Amino acid sequence: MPLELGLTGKVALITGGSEGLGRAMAHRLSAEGVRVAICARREPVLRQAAAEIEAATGTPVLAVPLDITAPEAAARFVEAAVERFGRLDILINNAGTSAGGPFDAQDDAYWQGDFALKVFAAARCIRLAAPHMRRQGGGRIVNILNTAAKAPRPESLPTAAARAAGLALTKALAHEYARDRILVNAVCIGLVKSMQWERQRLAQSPPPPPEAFYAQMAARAGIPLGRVGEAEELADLVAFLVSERAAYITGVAINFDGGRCPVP
Amino acid sequence: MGRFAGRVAFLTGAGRGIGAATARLLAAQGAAVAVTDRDLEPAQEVAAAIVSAGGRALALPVDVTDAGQVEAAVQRTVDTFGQLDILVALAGILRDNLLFRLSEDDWDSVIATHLKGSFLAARAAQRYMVPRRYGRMVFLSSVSALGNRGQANYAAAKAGLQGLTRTLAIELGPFGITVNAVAPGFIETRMTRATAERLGLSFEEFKAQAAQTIPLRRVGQPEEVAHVIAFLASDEASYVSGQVIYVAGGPRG
Repeated sequence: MPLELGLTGKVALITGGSEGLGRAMAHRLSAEGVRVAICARREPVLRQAAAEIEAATGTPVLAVPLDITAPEAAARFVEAAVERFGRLDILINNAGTSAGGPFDAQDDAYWQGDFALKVFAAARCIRLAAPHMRRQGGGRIVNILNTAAKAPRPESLPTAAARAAGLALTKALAHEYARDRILVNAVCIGLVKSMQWERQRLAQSPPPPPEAFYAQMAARAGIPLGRVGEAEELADLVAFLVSERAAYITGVAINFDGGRCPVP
Repeated sequence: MGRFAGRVAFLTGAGRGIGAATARLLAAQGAAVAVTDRDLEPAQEVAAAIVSAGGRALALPVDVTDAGQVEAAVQRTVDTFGQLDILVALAGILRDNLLFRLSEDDWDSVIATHLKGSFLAARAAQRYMVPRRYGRMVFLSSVSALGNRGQANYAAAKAGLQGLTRTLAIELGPFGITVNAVAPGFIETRMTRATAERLGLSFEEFKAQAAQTIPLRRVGQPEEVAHVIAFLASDEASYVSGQVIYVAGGPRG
């Protein structure tokens, strides 16, 4: 139902869109007729993702290889997309890595690196994208966070702190940007199949079959729905949030975790 | 046929406002819908409009505080359409008053309609969802759950629904049933119109006043809530469960 969401012809920026969750979101939006720009550090993987999505959906996808935390990188990303597609409607701050462990073993550099990616790069992308959205009379921003933002678990720092900052960023900007019809929301993900988990699976020796690996993960975590989420399911939720159908929702942070997080 | 082709939905409080908008939307996208309301006439009007637009609908009078009536209506829905996939429990009433004027009857009737009514509908619906390992339940909370002057009974019921939502998400998750709630802010309905009257304001004045405090600077429309309910009731929302989504034109909760 491509037309139902009213997304055809829009332009979206997705940070970290070369694989896993970002790629699933890029694919879903592209299938809705959204012209998508994705960025990531590894150029071959990124270009291949863009080419494959474009071939599957028939909608142009722009690959901008860069490290989003580098100086001027966010500006280059936004400018490249606007130059190619002529407008900007949607920003999805998705780039992130898992960072956690015993707090006592961490130093300032580790925290600064995590905040540079999860907070400062996201904030910079928003600041640069907003003028384009404002000029068009509105836009959508979705920050992909983690349920650690609401219910931090042991050894979840610095991610939990960075994600809590993302939550405050989301809510404050929802107020600040509402007058410009820029809606700002967040999705707090729990356990979702992604390349990060895939790499952990492959690191085991011997690697367990994916079904067994994820079933054990779901059982151990006590997920009410009894399974780990799929990247495509996250893409469906995000596509809804950026669609014309979600026009009165701003400042919310929806948990995407199969009902696991104790904090709504 | 749309994304609800082959699905059957049971709605309470669907004769007017958000419920009617949701029934129309689900039906337009292919669901067979049981449109229930305490008053049969508005439910019949909604069902008739759906049928004349080519959809499938059944109108039933249901007092949601009566377990027998709720169970019979769910049974009738399954008898008619063959199964039950989606429950949207929206039935609610207002009996606003400040605490010192709030009567026991005002308290009991509001709690019974919103909270007990949702519990009864969920209990009746799960019987048909659990064996099929599929279900979608959506309850109607409100920004009033966070506290609102003159609404001690309503706020308690709407906060209670959030606890019901989260608990049923835990209990029913293993059976493939997701349970979520939508918490609207100021939506243009007969209920908000009644509040304006109680406050001695014209509806236009009341809406304009409310809009000033809403970040998006406007009140919401029933259809805007219906779209969120429809998303939560869809296959696409398959990993979203136990959530309360504020549809309030700004951050809440």
